[in-house]
Amino acid sequence: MIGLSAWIGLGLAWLGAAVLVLSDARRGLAVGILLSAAGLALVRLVEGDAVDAGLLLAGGLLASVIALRRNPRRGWGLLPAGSTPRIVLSIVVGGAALWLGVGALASPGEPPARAAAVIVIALGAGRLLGVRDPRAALAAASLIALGAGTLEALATTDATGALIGSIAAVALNLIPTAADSEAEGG
Amino acid sequence: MAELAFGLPAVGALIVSLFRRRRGLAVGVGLVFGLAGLVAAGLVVPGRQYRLLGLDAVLLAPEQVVLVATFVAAGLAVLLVPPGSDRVPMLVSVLAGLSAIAALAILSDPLVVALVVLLLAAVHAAVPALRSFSDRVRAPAFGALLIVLGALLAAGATSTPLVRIAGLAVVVGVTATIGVAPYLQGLDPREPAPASPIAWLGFVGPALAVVLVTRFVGLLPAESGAGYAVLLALGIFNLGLGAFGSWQSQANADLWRYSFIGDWGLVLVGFGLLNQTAAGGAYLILLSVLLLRLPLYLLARPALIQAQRVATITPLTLLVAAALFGSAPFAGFAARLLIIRGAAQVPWPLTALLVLAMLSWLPQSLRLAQTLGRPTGRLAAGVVIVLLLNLALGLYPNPVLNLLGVR
Amino acid sequence: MPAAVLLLPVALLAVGAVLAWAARRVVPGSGRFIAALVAWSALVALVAIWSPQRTPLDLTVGELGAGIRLAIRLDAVSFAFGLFVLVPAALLLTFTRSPSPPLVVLATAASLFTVEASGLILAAFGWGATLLLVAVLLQAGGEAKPITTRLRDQAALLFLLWAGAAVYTRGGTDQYAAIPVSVLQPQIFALVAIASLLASGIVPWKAWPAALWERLRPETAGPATALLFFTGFYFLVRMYEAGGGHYPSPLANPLLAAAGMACALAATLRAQAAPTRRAYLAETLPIAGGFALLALALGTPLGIAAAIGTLAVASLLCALLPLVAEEALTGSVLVALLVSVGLPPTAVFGTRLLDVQAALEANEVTGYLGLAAIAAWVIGIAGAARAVRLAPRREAEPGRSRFGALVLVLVLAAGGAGLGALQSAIAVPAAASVLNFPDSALTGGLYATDAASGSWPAVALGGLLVVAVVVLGLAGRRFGVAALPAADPVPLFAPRWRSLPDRLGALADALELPAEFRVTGWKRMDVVLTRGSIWLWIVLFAILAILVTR
Repeated sequence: MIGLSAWIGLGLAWLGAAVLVLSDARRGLAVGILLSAAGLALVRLVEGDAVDAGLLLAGGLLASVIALRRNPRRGWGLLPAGSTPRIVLSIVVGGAALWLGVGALASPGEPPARAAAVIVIALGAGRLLGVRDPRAALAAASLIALGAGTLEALATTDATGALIGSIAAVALNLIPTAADSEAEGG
Repeated sequence: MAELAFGLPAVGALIVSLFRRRRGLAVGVGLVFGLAGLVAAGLVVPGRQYRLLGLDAVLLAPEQVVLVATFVAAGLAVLLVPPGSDRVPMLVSVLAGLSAIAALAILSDPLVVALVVLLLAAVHAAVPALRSFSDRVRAPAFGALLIVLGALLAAGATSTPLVRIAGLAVVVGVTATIGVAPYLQGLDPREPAPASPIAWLGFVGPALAVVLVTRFVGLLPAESGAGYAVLLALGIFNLGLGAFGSWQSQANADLWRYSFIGDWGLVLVGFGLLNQTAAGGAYLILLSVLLLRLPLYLLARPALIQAQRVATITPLTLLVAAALFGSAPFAGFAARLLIIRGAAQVPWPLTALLVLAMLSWLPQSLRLAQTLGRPTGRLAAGVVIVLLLNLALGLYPNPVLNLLGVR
Repeated sequence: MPAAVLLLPVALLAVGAVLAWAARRVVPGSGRFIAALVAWSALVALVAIWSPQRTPLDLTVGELGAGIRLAIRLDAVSFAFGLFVLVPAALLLTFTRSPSPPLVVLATAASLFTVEASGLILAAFGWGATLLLVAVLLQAGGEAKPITTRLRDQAALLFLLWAGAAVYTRGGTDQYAAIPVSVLQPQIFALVAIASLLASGIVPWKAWPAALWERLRPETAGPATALLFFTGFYFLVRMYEAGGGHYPSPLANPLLAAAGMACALAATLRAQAAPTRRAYLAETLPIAGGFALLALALGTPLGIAAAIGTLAVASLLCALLPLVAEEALTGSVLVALLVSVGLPPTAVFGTRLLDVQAALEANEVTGYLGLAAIAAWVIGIAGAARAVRLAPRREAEPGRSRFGALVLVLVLAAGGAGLGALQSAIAVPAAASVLNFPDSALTGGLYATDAASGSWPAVALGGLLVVAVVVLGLAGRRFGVAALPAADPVPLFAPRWRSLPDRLGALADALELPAEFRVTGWKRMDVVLTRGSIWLWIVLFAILAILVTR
């Protein structure tokens, strides 16, 4: 049962990251952050660290709220025209990250938790490096922060990693972006 | 004390941005906090372990030296702003940058370092500038991601090839973050310095490079030396690209950009040679990037914006050119001597290449110095201060080298 | 005597430079007096430190860092080369209007520091500082080709630095007296030799002292030449000390001797075809340098002593040439021509005689080189006769000291009589400090020079000739110089080779890279590099990953 929950958490994290990758507007981005944070929190909870889970969920929630409020692009913006490369990215990079987390790495933490964090980082990285819209880029960067915080939390016994990841995710979304940059975003 | 080194500039940045409309107060408070941060950075006992918000923190001697130099460079950047420029935005950026740099230098964990880099990249890219957010965030974000990958593989990889890739990822990650070739960024002098690639190449980069060779050294696989070989190869590539690019460039911002790249080439070669002597030279080049090239670029920026015609050569131009070239008795001489000494331990073609590359910078140094025009007033004072600083470091580098542990 | 006193000459010059600079700010024009005063004071201090004991004196202050050890040593070699720097500097500061006397004094301090440094790296450091100060001085004097000059200088400096670094790495020290003999390998010596030849301009094409002399005003070119010309020779002398009395490869000696001969011969050929009197006199130093290198490279006690004597005379020539207003055919110009060409009983004659004797005595190969040098000497004399007939262009410029020129011309003209003293006091001790040889190897003394191939009774014969020349000079001083034909005389050899550098340059310019290999779109390449293509980065990383995991 515990194992299944962990894999569900991994799936949730993947789904959240994929939503973020496939979305261009604020609702999609915010939900992506939230789902990913929830997935990461679940895998930490399953591993028995409720504090980490709480911190990650709270950080993700706060970050998604800020992302929602700060982004001027309304709506979901899911699967806009020309999304095929992003769908491929979500599957291929997600799959590669899963292999890396489960097959190629022996630590930190258990395979599902590790893989979830790596998937979130990889998909966040893919989105961050490919997008022109600064708000979407910051949302993607906050995924990386949450994933890195989870990895740090897996490697240590205290909650500092999760705390720092969460704070970074929130801080990234708090960064103001210039209006002209917004206009350039696509 | 370690927490004060990054806490004070952070608080200073916050206060200055809050009081930005009262310029005098903002500048005064900012300078006080910056100075306090400098003192705090100087008073940290190098090598002592701290526990900071649950994280391991330690400031090693080379990091401390470069951090202190970064504070001094920041002070010069703020104090020597060209007439007519606003100090307050510069002060906020510089204090925020100092805070991040201090955090990079103090925190031990590569994942946390990557997070700080990511945050810094996002903040840097969000500063209003000519290039888009995505253009500016890409290289440092790519670098941060590679550092994460390197840390991940180093911690948990089960096969030797992946361990080697860990070292590669960390090295390439740091170089990408700094913005050396092949991760170059375009430089437009009209862009404010804190928003331009020079912020990475000349301000954040030195501390990050030291973190790479002191803190991340554990991630570089010693058995193959692959990471160091990549460092050396990247160094040679940057050295060549810097020389060739500067030769092909007009006397403008591109020339300055390639001059930074050339210096970084020497730094990477110095570290890649895997001996303490050459590393000492690399450290000195980093100091001269912070205390010479960066301030001089900032002083030359107004002339670069106006695209002034190249002025005739004055004695001051020659002195600036000599300092940039690394002539005796400026700091660059000792740095180049150490790198050549380090290279003398390996087959001679590398030394010949280094000597050739160093020599190729002579005409370019003069062209760089000419971009300053005919300095007068505050500009001339700034140039003289920077030259005196480098002269002092060149005449008697021993105290700094002792701190760095170089003989 | 406390070792700290070694710093006195350099310190005097450094402080004097500051004082002269400050004085110029208050009273324009006053700096020259202070500068000359401190230069003479430094010279007196150097002599006063060395003369009483005549044994090496060392002072180690400590590490400056990066392997630069602040240790200075006054021995016979550094004393001799110190004089070569200080004497012309003091004379030029006294008798010419330098564009910046404080800068000349500071550069003199750096140059003196270079020859007093006890190690190669510290000497390179001092030399680098000298080069920079001289570059600033030349700029103040209107130098139009700073890059060409600096490229050559810095190339030489980097070669020297490379050699110093290699010696330090292999031997753990760069102190001349402590370098293990086995460390000075031929490759390292080659670096020093190339640096030295470039530094002193001992090359078969037009050397920098000649070019500088023609390009710049004498009061600028004079100090620059005096402060830089001797450095290359200094390092070559020190290499004997580092190599235990010989160079690391037996091939090095004939090669360097041939380089010296080639330099002297080529400079003479240029001089005999010189279009102006200034161009003729400009070749004086390269010719002297060529003779000095020929002798120095022999590696024999006589050769090294003769070379140092030749350099001593060259240092006086450095001071004399800027003082001679060569545009007008005055008496001092006539005597300067006689002096520079090496007619007896001048000092130049005496030292060249020793150089050639040393070459003839060393071995067959150098004997032939010595014969070629004699040919150069003879051609030079003919060239001097032609230079007298080169039409005066304008009146002598004011501001040059006729008194100074007269004194120097007399000293050099009568120098042949004092050659024995010069060799005994300066040259032989310097040679003895880098080479071990029995006392019987160099005989002669204060009144004569003596070698296996013959003696020069300096006082007995040279003194007599000096008296004769002085009597002739006094008797003829009331006669004006006869009017000379306005047309320039033709050279002895048609100077077709003079266009060779231009032809080679044109040839080089005509060389083209095939169009396929030309970098025509650098701007586009730069744009591609700075575009930040994430795919390019990923591909590069992948390639590197494959490489490191193989």
